[in-house]
Amino acid sequence: MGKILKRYSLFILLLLISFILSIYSAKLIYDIKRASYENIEKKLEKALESTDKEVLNEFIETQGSTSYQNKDLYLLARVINGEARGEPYVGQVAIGAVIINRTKHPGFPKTISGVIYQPGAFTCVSDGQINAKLEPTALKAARDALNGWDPTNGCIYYYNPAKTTNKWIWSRKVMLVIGKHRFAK
Amino acid sequence: MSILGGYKELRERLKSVRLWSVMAVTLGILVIVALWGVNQYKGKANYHNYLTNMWHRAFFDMVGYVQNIQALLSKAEVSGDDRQRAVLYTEVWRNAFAAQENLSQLPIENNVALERTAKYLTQVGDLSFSLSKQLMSGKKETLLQQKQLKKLRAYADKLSNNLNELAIEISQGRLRWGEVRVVGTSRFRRIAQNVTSSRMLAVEAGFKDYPTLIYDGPFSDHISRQTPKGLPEKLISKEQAKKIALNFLNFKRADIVNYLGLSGDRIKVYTFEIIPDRRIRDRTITIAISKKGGKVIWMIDNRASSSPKIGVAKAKENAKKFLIEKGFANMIDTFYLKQDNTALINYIYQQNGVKIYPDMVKVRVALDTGQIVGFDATAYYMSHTSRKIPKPAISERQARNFISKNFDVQSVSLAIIPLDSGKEVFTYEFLGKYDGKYFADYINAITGKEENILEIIKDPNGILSM
Repeated sequence: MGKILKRYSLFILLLLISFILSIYSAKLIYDIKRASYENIEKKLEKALESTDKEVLNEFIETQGSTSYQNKDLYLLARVINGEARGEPYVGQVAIGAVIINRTKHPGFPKTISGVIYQPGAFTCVSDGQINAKLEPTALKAARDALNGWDPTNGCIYYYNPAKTTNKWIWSRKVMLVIGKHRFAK
Repeated sequence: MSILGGYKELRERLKSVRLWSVMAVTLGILVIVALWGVNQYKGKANYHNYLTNMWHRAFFDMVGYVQNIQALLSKAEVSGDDRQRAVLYTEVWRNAFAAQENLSQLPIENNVALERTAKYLTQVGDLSFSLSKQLMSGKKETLLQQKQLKKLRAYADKLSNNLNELAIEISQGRLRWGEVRVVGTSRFRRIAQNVTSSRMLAVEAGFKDYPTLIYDGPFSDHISRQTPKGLPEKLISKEQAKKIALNFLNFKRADIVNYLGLSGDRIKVYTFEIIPDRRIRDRTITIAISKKGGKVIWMIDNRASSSPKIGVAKAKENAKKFLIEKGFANMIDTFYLKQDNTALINYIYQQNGVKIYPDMVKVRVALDTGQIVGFDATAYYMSHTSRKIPKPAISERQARNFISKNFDVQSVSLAIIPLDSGKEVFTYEFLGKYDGKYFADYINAITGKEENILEIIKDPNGILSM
């Protein structure tokens, strides 16, 4: 028995080490992933806290007939943030305006969350960019859009010609170009 | 002997176990990777099942709602009782909106492409709701409305049949929901698109010759086709528009003026992006000039405001001065909102003491310098016209009888308000309190009908309605 143990001791040790190492590395990978998610969540919470608290009790009135509550503000800001970071300010307002235009259009869901979470409607929702760090300008742009400013003048589609392969969207009539985005009917 | 013995010994031992150890380590890693893979696969399968269940729920619910619409509409055609039909129409409305909600959750690669089906569901619900209101106010359906309904019912029949076929195939497992993934290999995407997505798009094609529907509701086709009442007839060119824009901003010249395009369905506008100073590139002003009449429809100045130096009263003074300078006379301020170091003030037109709510202009004032950094007159130009305001047919005292006794009225005035359908009504506006909250109650000054109720929210940041 002792002889066998002696003979294979190195092998057993190596096996043990490799086993522990792989478990450890698997756990490490898991932890890193988890930490990054938690980090994103924490950053988001911070961003939400830092934007003035009074806003949370505020209701925004648009065009006299439809009103949007504050819950929509952050959702809208996040999509603007995910879709148009680095775009000119008006381009950001325009993305918000497209979402609001859709809620008023018979062919789309009637709520801001409905429009945003329609499958395939926004790339940033599908790929998780919607959870990226919220920039203050996105929040400001979302407010302008909710207050009724519409740089697109009624457009319900937009796309980035450099990134879009969807043939269907290319068939829509382009009305104006702001930054990298084409806005269409 | 210890394995921690001399180096030489260790080397010899290593030689003898090398082959074994390499194999063992490889095997060990393989086993671990396999276990990990199985675990991952299980997790993925779990998520997939969960999602498939959600999609099935949404789809089968939708099929049910569409069947209900079809049944309810045919019942309404048969029914001779006005009250019964009013109830049936509200049921159609409820089912249609639920159906649309579920449709917009289906995992079609490009759900947005189901626009026509969604539009049908919205309009069938919206029209039913307006008919239900019409019946409750004692007016029967017109011949035209009956025709419209019959047409819509025929679409419901067709849609219901198509969806039923799909439902059978799905429940037999012959058809599966494709992966709703935008990323992935193109072959993968093609396969996903070939199954259920294309079948849903085929259903969508059934609405190709769907008619234009005009009725009394917010989603009627006439809403997007309204023409502006407040713009002069003369058409202007892009060059003229550019001049008007610079004039409006009191600029003699600007370093960069970019033309963004001609857009808009109700008001066609030329949109320009103006950078006043090349050295301060991130300050841009975007401004839209109507092709018809050459008026400034809206303007956004993205200059960030620093901490406030003026109050709302001073901001209102500046805004009022600005409006007079730009040719808006008889405007009174209503609601306002402080945000991002600016004050957003809503102005409405006043004619002989009557508040004209549809003629609304929004002005945004920076609270650091008092400068105007935003302007929106879309609503004003859509509705402003010289109105003949009639004398109220009922007195203020009579109108008071139509409001709730619990409502503590504090002030009364005459007002014209917009309705969802785009129409205007002449009303008494009762402002008052109920249970510590502020409300505005609007009673039709001709018929005495209650037209709208708004809740007014006052807080340190502003006064708003909802």
